[in-house]
Amino acid sequence: MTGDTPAAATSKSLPDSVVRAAIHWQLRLETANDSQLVRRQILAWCRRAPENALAWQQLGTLQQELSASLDALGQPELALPVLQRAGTDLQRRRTLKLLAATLMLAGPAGYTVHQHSPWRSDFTTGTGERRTLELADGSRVMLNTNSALDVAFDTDWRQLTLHQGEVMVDTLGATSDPRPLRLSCDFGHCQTRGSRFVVRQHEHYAQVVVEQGRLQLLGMSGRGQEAGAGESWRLDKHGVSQTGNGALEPAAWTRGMLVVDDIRLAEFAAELARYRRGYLGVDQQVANLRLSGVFQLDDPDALLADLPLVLPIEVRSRTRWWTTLTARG
Amino acid sequence: MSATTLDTHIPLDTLYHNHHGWLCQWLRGKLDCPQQAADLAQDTFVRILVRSEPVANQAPRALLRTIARGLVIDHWRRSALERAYLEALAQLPEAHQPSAEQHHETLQTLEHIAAMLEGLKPRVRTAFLLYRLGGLTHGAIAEQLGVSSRTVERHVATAMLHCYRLRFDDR
Repeated sequence: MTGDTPAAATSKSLPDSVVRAAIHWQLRLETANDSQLVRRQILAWCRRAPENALAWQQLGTLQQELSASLDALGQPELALPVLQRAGTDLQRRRTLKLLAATLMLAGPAGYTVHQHSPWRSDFTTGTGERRTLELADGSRVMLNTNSALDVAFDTDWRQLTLHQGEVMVDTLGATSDPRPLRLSCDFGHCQTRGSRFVVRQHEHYAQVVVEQGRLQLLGMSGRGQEAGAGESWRLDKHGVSQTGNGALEPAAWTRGMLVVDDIRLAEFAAELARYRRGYLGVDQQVANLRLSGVFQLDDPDALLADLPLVLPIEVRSRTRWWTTLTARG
Repeated sequence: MSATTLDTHIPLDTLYHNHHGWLCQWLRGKLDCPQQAADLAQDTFVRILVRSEPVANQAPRALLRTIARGLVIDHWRRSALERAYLEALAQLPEAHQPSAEQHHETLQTLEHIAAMLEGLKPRVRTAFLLYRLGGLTHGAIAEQLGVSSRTVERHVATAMLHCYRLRFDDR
């Protein structure tokens, strides 16, 4: 990790019990009303054995390094959800047994990630924004919140590339164009001559819903499927598969609405969070409450403020950018 | 060094020549992106190059695979983290958007912390982050997670022990 470990050279590793005791003292110190008293107690504990003193000193070093790192992050409302998610992503991968031996702790220096930056795309939307585009062939495209789309028409193809977010594509008004229209995302391609469909890119898969017409779906492996009106499909690393309808009406956003049927509050909040800025958390106690209804997306905060009318919850805001839904106290 | 010991080791150029194509193939099966696979194959050989040990003749592919797998995991970790970071950034108001330089530094710090917390149970991780990063009290965290204050304290202590071991134990 950071540099080498000088302490390891001078001592064998300290037993858990000693380190735990030192940690206990540190937590006591941080929460104590009378820190002078705790400091004296810690000093006495350190004098009792050289191991204690070493553990205390090492813990102090760790603490300083940790604080420096955490301070460098600045905005906790930004870093916290990222770190929590990064953890669960990795956890998920582990259950897929894709993680075998974790060989390296330090990353390779100078290694760059080829990640698409949304601001380099032809068309983008910010949080809570929706945007309708009329393409050269007469097709209509609508971008949902936080989305990025590239458009490239050439002699053979009408190519759209969804880099992030969600898009509705309607080519029904452009069926006379001889070139097939293809929309690509991280997990595959959709190809059509005349249809209306919605593609939403998630972290590990893309969801495709056909509203009208027919669509060819191609996974990354190259295997294809034909999708018909009213069907819902999933593209992921493993290929193409048909799915059932979720608790969320997939194309409702194109009409500025959020339509849900018996959705978990946690899922609802995650959905709503796409349309508003800031952190939106849900307390475990209320995460499983269920909700149905039709909501306007124009003002997510007003929507949030109205939730206590239909659910036994409270909307708590620590700052403007940090909101949690908790049980009504 | 005698001739027999030399025979049991593979020179790097031979290793590259004989196994580079295979390694790219193997990586392509994991990554879907040929460019990415080629980059990681290159990185794998760089790892071998900077290693002080010579490569034994017995199972060179097993070694390549082990190193490459570590790089793939790193790659996933980074892209998951960067994606989450970009998404979180998009949630912030314009005025709070970091500069490109800050952006890069923050990502590195995030990677560092994520690597440090890897292997912790989600609840332990969350409790620790809320305490250290969110600055919440044990009581407030307990309320958020729906557990007792004592449990939160135990989680935080577990996470700290984990970080301590990573930092000070020579493994």
